[in-house]
Amino acid sequence: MNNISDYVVRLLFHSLVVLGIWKCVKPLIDEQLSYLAKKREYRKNSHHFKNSSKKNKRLIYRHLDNLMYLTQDKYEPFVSVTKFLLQSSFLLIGIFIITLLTIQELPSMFSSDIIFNGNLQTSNVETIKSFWKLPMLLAILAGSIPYIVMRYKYAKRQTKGSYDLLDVVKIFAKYTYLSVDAALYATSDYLMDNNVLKRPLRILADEFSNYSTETMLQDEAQRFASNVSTTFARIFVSDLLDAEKEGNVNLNLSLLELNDSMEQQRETILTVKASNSDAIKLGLYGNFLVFVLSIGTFMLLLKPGLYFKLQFQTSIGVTFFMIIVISFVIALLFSILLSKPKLDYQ
Amino acid sequence: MEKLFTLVSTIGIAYFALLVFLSTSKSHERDLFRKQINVRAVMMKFQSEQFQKKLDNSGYPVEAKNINFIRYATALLFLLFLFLSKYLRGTTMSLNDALIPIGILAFSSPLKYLPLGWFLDRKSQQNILQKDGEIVSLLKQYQNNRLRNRGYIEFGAFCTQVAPTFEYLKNDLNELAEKATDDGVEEAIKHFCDKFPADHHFMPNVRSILLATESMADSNEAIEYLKKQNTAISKISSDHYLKKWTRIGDWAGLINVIPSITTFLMIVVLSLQYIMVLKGNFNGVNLFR
Repeated sequence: MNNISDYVVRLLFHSLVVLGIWKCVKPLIDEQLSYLAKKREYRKNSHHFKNSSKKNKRLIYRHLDNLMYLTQDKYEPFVSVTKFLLQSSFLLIGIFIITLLTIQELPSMFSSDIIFNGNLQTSNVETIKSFWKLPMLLAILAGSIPYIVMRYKYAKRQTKGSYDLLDVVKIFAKYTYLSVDAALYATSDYLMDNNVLKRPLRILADEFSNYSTETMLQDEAQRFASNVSTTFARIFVSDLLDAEKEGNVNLNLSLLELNDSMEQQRETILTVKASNSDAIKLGLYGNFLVFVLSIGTFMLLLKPGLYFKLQFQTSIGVTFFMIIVISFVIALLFSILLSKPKLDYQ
Repeated sequence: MEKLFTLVSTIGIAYFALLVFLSTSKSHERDLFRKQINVRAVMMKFQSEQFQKKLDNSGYPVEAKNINFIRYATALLFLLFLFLSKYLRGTTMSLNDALIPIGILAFSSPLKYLPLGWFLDRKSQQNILQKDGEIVSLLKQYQNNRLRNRGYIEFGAFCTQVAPTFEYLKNDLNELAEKATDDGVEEAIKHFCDKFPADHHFMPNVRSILLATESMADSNEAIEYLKKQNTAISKISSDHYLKKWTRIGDWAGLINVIPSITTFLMIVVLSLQYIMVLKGNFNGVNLFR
């Protein structure tokens, strides 16, 4: 018992060291990053003039950038992705070092084994060889956590964004007498703070107010549409582009039409949700309730000990338990899928 | 070691034979050799139309021949190394070892129910869903095109102009524009719409809308028509959504009942087993004692 607490304290100190290093390094990196981002922006502009953007080259960068675009409230084009990559890699290395140090201090099972076997010369090499595998696995798992969390957040925000677009369209329809960029700024000012599209709209407005070539504008608009990823977002964006090109005479009418079809689709979604509500409720908590209640009564009728023996020490019981757990998860996924559909035609 | 020397000498003799053959043969034989067995000719053997089509539909910009080459090359290399190591160690090859290359080939096969094929099919279905949304947006832009004050842009030019604003339809639209200038607008529209599956829920409508609008010279008439049709399309999409998700909901209802039913069934089975245990005669073995 004493030993375990000892090692926990050591683990804590190791993580403290790594955290301290990160805290020292972070401000330096941040400053450097913002400087690099500015430089890169100028370079990107000149690239666009030369018309030689290498689009397919930086697949991973673009993927991460799109994820950040919706998930981060303080998104900045180049800085966010690099920060994220640095943080993830530092997490990976940090966890690797911490676990490696802690495991080396543990009285390992390998070494005692080898001592009993008698060949001490190879023992050192072999233990070191086998040491790095577990920390590596842990580090990779820990390093992928930020990405997974971001993916989850992204999916959630995409769904929310598809509904938030309705507000955007409504407010924007009020400012159609302004030029597109000014209207976008005004719209993003009047949006609620919890609106997911607030920041993306500002970025879009920036692009509309100072684009240098049409491809740049189209790229940015397409990015907005593909991140919200609904039919309505595409229509909205194409309306904006059209207004920028042809003047905003028809914009108001067009947006009102869009608003109508969005409302119509929202009603459809609500009917679908209402008709599926039984399945959703069952999947979210009905199954769990049934399981707990029936197993509870069963346990009361027998004794708990006897029940656990029946459940986990017979092959039938274990098989049934596995089936129930798996179908639980599937049902849960299905009801999450059904309960939060996007505002779209898909 | 002896076996290693055998291997090296075999390879050396084969190479030597090849050199002798090349130096003694007549020029046309040599030409034949050069033309038949060079990199490009070998790669062309791996080209497969069907696979290429699937890859194109799923939106991955890779060539089928490269993937096919990698597939067969990995399988062959694996087999070769396996054979060499077995030969050097002096053990014979078992049937299980041959299963791994076959597994590699099957895993990466583009056939429908094998992993890669299934994945590609899924991806292309998703692409079609995305394209649906973009087509609705395209129709809206098409209407906007007619709303211009002084005349409207001709169909082909319109397509090239809007193509960069779309993510999934980009290539299709560029192709459509090119075809419109080559073969005429009607042919191009037909070709474009035939790319979608035949039982698509609004593609037949889109096809007739585009064809009908192209024959209208009067912009006001076209605008009225397009407005009506656009609302019709959004209604169709909405209905399709309703149908699709009600069907999914029905299935989900069935699936979501499974855990509860299984729980009840399990309790019945467990209590039956308990009774058997109480009788003390469970397969001749007393379980809990």
